[in-house]
Amino acid sequence: MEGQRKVVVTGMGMITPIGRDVASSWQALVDGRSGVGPIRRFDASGFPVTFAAEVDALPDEDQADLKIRLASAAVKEAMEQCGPLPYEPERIGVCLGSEAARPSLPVVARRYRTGELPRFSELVRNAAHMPTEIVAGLVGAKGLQSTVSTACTSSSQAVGEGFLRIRRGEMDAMVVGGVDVLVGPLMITGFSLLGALSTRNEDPQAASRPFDQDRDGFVLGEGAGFLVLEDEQRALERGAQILVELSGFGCSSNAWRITDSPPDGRGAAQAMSLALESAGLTPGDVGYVNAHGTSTPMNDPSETRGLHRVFGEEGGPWVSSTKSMMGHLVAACGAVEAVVAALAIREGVLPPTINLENPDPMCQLRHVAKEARPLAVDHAITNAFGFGGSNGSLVLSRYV
Amino acid sequence: MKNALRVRVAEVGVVCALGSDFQEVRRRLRAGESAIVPCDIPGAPVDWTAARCEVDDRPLLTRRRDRKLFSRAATLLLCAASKALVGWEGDREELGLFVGVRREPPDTGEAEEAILASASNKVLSTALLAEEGRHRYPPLQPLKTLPNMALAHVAIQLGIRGESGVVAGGSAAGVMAVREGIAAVAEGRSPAALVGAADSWLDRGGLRDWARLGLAERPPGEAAVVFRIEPEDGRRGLGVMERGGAGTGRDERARSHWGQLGDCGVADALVAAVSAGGTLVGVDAGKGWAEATWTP
Repeated sequence: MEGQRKVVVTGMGMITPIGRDVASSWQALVDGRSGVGPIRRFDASGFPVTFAAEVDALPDEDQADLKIRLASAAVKEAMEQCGPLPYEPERIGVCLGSEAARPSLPVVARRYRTGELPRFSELVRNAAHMPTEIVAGLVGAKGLQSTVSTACTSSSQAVGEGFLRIRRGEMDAMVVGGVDVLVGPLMITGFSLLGALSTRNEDPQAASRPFDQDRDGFVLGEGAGFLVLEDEQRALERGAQILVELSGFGCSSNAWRITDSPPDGRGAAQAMSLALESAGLTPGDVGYVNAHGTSTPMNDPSETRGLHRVFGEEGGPWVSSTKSMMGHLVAACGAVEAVVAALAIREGVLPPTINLENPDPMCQLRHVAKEARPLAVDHAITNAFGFGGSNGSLVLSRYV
Repeated sequence: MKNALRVRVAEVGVVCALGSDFQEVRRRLRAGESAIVPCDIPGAPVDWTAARCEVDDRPLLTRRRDRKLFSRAATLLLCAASKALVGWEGDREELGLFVGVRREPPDTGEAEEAILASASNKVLSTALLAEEGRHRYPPLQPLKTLPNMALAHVAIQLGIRGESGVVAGGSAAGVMAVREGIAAVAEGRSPAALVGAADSWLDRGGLRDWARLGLAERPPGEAAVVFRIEPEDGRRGLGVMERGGAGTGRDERARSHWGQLGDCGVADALVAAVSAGGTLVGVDAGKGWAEATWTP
């Protein structure tokens, strides 16, 4: 938009169930490889769901919590790519999408048995904003730090908040992203009881099938994704390599139900429209949508309806859901999928929705089905919608 | 830091132990009244004191299922938000909603039966959880404990569909949420917004954390404060609110009201401002801070 500061991406990092960094995760996406498999972290054989999309174990040199290790690894990759940020620490902020960590099942059980109270250190360590503070320490940021916690929309909104802070001149650089680790007995139990998870235990790699008529729920995943955002002028002055422009952000509330999306797709459409308006673009400018596409019976037709409201029922941008390969990274999905959308623009390749054998008639879209599609696009949208009805959309654009 | 983002405060909704009418609470705070009484909440040590709200949520929570889903902080927030909406005649489709919360509501014992059923000879078994315990796990538990549920419930109950956000974590979260809302209104993304925070230490999980955090020297409290903010347009209201700075490196929290209302956590800075306005300063344990200034 004229007169406003442009926000550019100069560093990206991610660790996902299909790769330990950006390059390996991207290659797996382009190849259509699934990261879903039988749960390795605990014996899940008696549970209604026995599979998930887990990350490969990381070295545990300092006994740190897995969530912290994932966030640290992804931030380190993003910071290595962008290089040293020569700004005053007070002009560098951190915004993270995350939620509070939970004590492990054995700890919970011991506490119930003995009446033992949690330790002070555990309460502090498990606080929602703790990963944010650790990331701020890692990157030497002393500007505003905040933690957004809107379930599956968390990191999309965190990226959006970072975008707004740079655009209005509040910060010169923002390290933004998200992390989540939920694969455990209690979460599998809880999400199963909600009926949200796929139960395709006999064929885990085919379980996440967004927009397919045989979909039956999402696959729980885990991971972290981070982006370094900078004011364009400051980035140019320091000679940074600009990867893409982050050009728009929009968010909304469904005010519908806690777990379901409204069938008319209104909230999703509102978030996408606001993001396009924020970017100064029209729907016809968008070439690719990385959909929220969870593979649940309710989300996918609702998101489709939202896409139709914005882009029309015919034609429209190409659409895929990379959750078909990575599973649902919950609080981290928005940031990870923003990295994916940025790579799609840079590499000229749209990653596919694998397992999309029979598109649901209620999900008629221009699908990138089963195989990646080489295609140059200038603008991409990435969607994230959460339990509770929070919606977030980001627009990424080719930097020219 | 740019401080040019200003809005008009059109209404304030307050729910705290000194009442739930903004002007009345302001008067009582200024008069130095205290709502701190011996704590009779099950699980609290006998010598503790606390400041607990009396709220009538029956007009707002008419369904039994809602009562099960709502945490205490979510209930307080809904009551305060509904008061802040009084007089709003505009569309709620684009009304913004920005909320600060401390963390997700703790499990206050609902999962106990499931955990106990998953242990044999006092040793937990994942297999027993899979076979037996999971059938006793409350299905609404994951929903109840998500940090954004307070915002979700308010949006659903009051039909608010505009830009929204939840800032979670330390005690600065409430002021951070206020700052985000001010920006959304002042920059024209929202025609108006409800901004505020809610917190309660007064349940089994909260009191447990209170004790372990070593805070027992001051009384735990609970409160929700929600401002309805609108663009500055020359109309009279309850004053002007301006977005202040934010950063890291402070460690002094608002505490002037602790002798009257106890520690209200994430809502502290907002509660302190109810008395006379001024600068709302939110400070996290990790020294992250945020400011907004309310000039009544």
